[in-house]
Amino acid sequence: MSMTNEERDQLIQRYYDGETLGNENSLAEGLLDQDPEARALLESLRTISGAIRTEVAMAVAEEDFSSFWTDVSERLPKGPLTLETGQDSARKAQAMADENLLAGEPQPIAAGGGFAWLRNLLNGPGLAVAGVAMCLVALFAPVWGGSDSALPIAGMDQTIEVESIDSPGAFVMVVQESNDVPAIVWVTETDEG
Amino acid sequence: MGAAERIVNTPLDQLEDRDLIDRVIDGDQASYGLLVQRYQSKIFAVAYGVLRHREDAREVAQEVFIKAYRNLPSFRRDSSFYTWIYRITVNLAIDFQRKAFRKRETTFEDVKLAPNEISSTGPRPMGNPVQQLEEKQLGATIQEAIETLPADQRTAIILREVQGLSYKEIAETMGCAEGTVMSRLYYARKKLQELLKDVR
Repeated sequence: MSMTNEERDQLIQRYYDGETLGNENSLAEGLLDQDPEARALLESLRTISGAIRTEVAMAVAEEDFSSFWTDVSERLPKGPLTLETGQDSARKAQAMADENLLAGEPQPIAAGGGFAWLRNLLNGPGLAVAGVAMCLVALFAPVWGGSDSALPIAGMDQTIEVESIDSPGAFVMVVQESNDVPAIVWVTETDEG
Repeated sequence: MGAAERIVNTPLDQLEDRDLIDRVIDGDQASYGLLVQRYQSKIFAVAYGVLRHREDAREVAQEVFIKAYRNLPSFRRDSSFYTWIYRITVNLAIDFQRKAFRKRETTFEDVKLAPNEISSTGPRPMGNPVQQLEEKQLGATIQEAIETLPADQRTAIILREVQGLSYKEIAETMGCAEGTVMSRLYYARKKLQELLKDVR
């Protein structure tokens, strides 16, 4: 059976890591018997492993952990540990947004405090198209109302003001699942600025 | 002896991670101290392996345990605690490094010896000085070499070589496929081999 150098090297690596499958183990051992380059590679892997382990072990050995737990414990939240104790600010922001919606307060998306779910969905890594003017179309919304920048939320007599949305493309679907009546909002890009 | 003190004094090998987690969620913060003690050096090692800076690694390691504590109620038992906490470590370390930007001198600088030091006539420690010099030079070189690796390759090789994680565990920790792990290890080692070929 012939294999490229890269295939051979990857096989030897898997053999060294104990990650061979099926007959790969015997195949690797056969290679090591016959191929000096395979043996050199295995020795090289051992050298690299040893050097890395030694280097990191030295750093760990020099570290003083005597006050580590004390330092950590002083920064832990006090009281019973629940999901509320955690730092899920997005969940809290969502809850606040829901409360404010029910109280009839419009939530400006650009402010970042409300509708965190919308911002989180739209503000992914690498999404750099800022300030794109959007036209919002609400499916399942009973009627359109207000100006171009006001959107009625399905199942609620509320609107949200939209100033700008960061989006990677022309079409984005946003699904809000936190309410009894789910709202599905399609966002489409227009040339209007 | 109070409950917290009794737990702290309990031999570590008698308490499984899941037992400690249950106790922590039930309000026993001292049990979390056991988990911290159990994993602090490993978490530090991973953070150091990624960041290459001890103070930063310590800071990140502490953040890891604080974040893990806060999120413990949402920890799903379908993965092991250490895989979960390694994942937090990797994410925080890479995020820390991304924000830090700064290049700092490393602790290995003070043990990096010039070739002419081999002929030094001063007192020498026990053992073969040539061999010791080679080991120190190799250590210094490996540190520099690791620093040149992309973060994902560096993380993969640290999790493999230092923590001894399997491909599957590394994949779970890094949130990628096992094939990706193998590929990252392959290219990381290839680059390290290239950088180290003149050392020995």
